[in-house]
Amino acid sequence: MDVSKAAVFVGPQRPFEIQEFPVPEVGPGAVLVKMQMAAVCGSDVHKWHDPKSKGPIIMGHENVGLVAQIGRGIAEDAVGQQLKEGDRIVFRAAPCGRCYDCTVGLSCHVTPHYGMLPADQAPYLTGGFSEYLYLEPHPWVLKIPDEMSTERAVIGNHTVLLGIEKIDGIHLSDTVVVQGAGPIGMGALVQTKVMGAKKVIVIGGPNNRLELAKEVGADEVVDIADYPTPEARVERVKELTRGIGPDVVVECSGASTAVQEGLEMVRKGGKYLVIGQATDYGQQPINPSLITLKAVRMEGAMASTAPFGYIVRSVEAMNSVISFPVEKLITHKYPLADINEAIKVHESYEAMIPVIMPND
Amino acid sequence: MGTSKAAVFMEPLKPLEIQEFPIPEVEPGAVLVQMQMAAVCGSDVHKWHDSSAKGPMIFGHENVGSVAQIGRGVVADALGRPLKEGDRVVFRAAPCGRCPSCTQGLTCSVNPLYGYIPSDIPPYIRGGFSQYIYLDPSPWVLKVPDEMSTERALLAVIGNHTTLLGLEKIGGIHTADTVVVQGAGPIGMGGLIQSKISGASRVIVIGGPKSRLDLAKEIGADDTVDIDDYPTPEARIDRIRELTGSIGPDMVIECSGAPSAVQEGLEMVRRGGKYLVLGQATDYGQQPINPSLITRKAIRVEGAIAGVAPYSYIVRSLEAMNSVVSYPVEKLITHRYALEDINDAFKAHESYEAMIPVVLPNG
Repeated sequence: MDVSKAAVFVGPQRPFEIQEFPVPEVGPGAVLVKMQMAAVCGSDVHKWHDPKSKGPIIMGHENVGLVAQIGRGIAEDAVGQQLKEGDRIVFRAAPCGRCYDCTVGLSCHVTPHYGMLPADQAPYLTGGFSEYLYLEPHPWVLKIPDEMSTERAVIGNHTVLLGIEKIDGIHLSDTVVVQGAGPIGMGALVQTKVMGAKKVIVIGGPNNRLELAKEVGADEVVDIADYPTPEARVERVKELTRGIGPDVVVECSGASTAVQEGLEMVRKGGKYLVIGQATDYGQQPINPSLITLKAVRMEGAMASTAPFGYIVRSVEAMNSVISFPVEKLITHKYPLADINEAIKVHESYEAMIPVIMPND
Repeated sequence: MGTSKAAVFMEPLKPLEIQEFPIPEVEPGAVLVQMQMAAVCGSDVHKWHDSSAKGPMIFGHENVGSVAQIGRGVVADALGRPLKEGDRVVFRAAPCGRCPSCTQGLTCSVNPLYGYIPSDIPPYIRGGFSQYIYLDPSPWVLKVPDEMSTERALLAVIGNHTTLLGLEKIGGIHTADTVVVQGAGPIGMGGLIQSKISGASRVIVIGGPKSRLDLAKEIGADDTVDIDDYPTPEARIDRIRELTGSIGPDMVIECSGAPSAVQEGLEMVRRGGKYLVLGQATDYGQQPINPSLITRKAIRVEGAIAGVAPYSYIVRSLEAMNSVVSYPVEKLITHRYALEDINDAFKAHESYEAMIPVVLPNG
């Protein structure tokens, strides 16, 4: 284990390059992880397109791996379970605990984010698209229960968990509309189903994603190919909700036009969770009087505002609460060398979640 | 008391007319109220301008009066306290209890709203700008405590119950929160007062003109931002950043009614903060708003309007005005008019010279 292969983002729109990096000596408090599975996230693809992005970076921030080597002084994971070599884990850099965001209970903005760090500075191996990943001293590490599949551990969905909690949960028998049939939309679908939603309607496409949505619990789907305009979709949702509108809408599409559409769909006094608007497309035409006149609650949430307690709970939920066959959401698996294929399949909407298996 | 004078809205932009109406016989379950004080609301003035508004109508939906006559069978107010002639009351039509809105715990969408009913249909006198107002059988009536001023009772039903609902929906003010109130009108003053008594460490009111901001300071504002001094959204956002140590306020309350205010508020509020949108009661269509601010700053946005506030919020708003709010809020009622001078009251409202102008239909 002197060297680790990794897929390196070298510049916008350029194919990822497989490079070899030295595996550093594991210092006191540090942890070396042997990667098992890393998801290709929409934000990776987005960054790959963004002309402002700078390489070299080893991307991959949705990771599950095995503890390969533990530095002196590390004995337990974040919930006090004994940690040893060979354990399967999810991980983050620990929050600094002393910045403003830490102080008010948001996620730390000071510590590094694995999968978003330059690969030309030691210790180099700081992203999931790599055979090994080096965690700087005193990382935040959580063991995955033995009985749980690695697929479930990768799926997680802790941001959705935070968002639904912020919005005061799903109430028994609520009708829910999920805007967007991608991985985040699937997270919203399974979480609202297990919280007692009577009917979850997923809006999106293409057809293969909607079929998958049905397999993991969707009661109705609205294909944007059949209902290509906002008016048609608002009308269709009204039909499916007895003319009243859904109690809860969850925006997971990332489309900048989705928010006006969601505000029109939600019932009077309803709730609107906006978790897809992670990319800033500037100001959009949105009617603010809908918020006041319909007394709507809107809530935003993002991974970077979720304290790590939500990761603990989302692993637990995936392990013991969600009975839907969510493993199916991981539709494509690639060895490290085929990462450019994985990016392509993500872009084409053919895949739901493509993953890299860096040591296969 | 055979007739009641009332100010009647005939058609848009025409002066309101004083007319006399017969006072109907009080049928079983009904209540006749002698009006004491009715506020001129922004929505009255708005309607007066609206080319689609139809008369004749007796406006006035923020009302305090005294019970003039009680129909057979009415013995108690909404809290079960004995009701008798001479009692001061606030009132509404009772919710029907069986429509979709009632079923969902929203305000009834079926029952009439006093102040919004045509005055050419019996019993005619169904708005507050009138000497008497006739409440249909089985109204919702709440007694005003004897020790409470009529001004405070009126303020309790001028938006304050909606603000109470909104603040509750959004999870409340937390002790030592910094709050920005957008808008220095009556709703903004409600946002200010309720934030202060809920433990806010600092409330900053943005608005104008200066006379209103001075009044805001008298009733508790810690800072004011005059839109004359800071005329652009950018300047106001910078000013708020200066006043909140660059982090932004924990809570912003939109009470301005300006459609451009929402984008500005989303930019002001801190990461993870809360944004209560009370002022967007008029539909001006789609505005340029950046939705990624909601996701990326993890903001909670909440709307509320009188039309969704169950009447329990009126009970609590009255209680709050009576026993919790120690600021000299009576000062917010800046102008008083006899019924005959109602057109002057509308003018004072439009000019921003008044904070709250009221009509005293019986002098």
